[in-house]
Amino acid sequence: MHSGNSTDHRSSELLRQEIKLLLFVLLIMFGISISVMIKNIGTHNEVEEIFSQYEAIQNELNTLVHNNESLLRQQKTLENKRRDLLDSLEIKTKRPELIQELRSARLLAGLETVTGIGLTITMNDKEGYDPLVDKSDALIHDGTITYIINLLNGAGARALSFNGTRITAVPQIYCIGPTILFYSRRLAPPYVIIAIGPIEEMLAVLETDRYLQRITSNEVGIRMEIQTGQVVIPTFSEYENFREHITHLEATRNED
Amino acid sequence: MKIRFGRSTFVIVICIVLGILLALQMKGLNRKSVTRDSLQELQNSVIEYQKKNQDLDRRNNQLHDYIRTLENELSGSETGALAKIIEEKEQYAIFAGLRKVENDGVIISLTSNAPARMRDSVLRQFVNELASLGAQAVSINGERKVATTEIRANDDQIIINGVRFDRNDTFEIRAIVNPDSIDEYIIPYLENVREVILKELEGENWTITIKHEKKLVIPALREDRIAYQNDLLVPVE
Repeated sequence: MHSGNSTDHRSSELLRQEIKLLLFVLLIMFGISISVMIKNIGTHNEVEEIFSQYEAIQNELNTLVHNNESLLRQQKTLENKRRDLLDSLEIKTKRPELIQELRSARLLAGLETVTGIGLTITMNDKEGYDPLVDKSDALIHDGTITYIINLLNGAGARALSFNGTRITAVPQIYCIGPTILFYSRRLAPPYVIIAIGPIEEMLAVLETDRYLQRITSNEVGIRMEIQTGQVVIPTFSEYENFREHITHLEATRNED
Repeated sequence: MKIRFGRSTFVIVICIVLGILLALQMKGLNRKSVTRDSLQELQNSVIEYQKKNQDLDRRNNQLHDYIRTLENELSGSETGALAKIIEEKEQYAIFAGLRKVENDGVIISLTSNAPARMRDSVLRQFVNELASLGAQAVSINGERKVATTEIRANDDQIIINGVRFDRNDTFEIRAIVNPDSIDEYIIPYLENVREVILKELEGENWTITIKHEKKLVIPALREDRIAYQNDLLVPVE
């Protein structure tokens, strides 16, 4: 009986100590939270101000993105209507070569969404890139992208896109810090190049190229994945107004 | 028993208050993660989308006008569609590099003196720099640069649009750029590029000259070039 009382007494003493310890930890955390809140009182207004500005701009951006999507849809509808009208006009029967030339020029200019068999090349910087340890080759630069585009062109590519934007005659691709700027779009990895063309030739040139073999080796670490199959390459006009890129060009007669 | 109950209640209350404080702290942390830099980035995106939407709106209006002309032609109330179609076709052809074009621009001449030979990488570097400077038309040794032009070395030759050029010859890159910024920005920039390239080629004997050319002519892509082919492309309706 005496031994039972003593055990109860000990366990209740243990419980009391546990509660005390728990209370101690909780009160310390409570104290820290209160002190952090007091410390933040001064900076609170500035943070709130930036955050409310951020929210307002985010809302504005969401509206603009929504408008952009609806304008793109409108553009597609208008393009289809234009195509249908051209098909139904008499010009098509009277001047078939003109309509053919128009379509061909549109295709070569990259102003038509096209589909075909091709490659999808996905590239990523070295995993866990550390500027203090890794070579600069372990990052993908504008030169890496233009190099691959050049290889694909040499292998007979007919149309290409880079991260969803069509490659045109004079594509503006350049590095800004760790990102690549392509026309007005700032891009970050993964970088995706899609090419329509002869698959075997394009694959062979990528797989046998010594520079690509070096940068994708374990030593350098660039990650490159190639998939084959049916691909779609968007029209350039989905992102840019092509007329802005011919403002300084005056067409002249061909003398030869 | 009462004491135990009181303690438990006290612990629960403290935990709830602590939970609320932690939630407030987390909210504050989320807000603090929004810096002036991320705000600036967001503002840049807004400007980018505003510009894109203005462009799209303008293009859609042009398409509207064009469609109206075609519709009027179809109804017989107006005859102007042919001129519109020709104008449209010419704009596409200019953008694709299928027309000879003219304006002020720059000429870059590159000579590699023996034993050095022309490097495709040097040509590509200049072409890429010109593109990033906003060049609207570029040619190399008379070969118009188009979307599928390749510039690559193969033994003693450099191949451009499938045409072979001797690597010991002088190469000439022509580009039409914004005439207003040629002297004050484009040529000084290209001269810097030249210095960097010459430093990389130290030990080899190279001559690279850059000059401003008035009424520079850049030829069209010839129809017999491989880059003219579009046989593997199917337009998506």
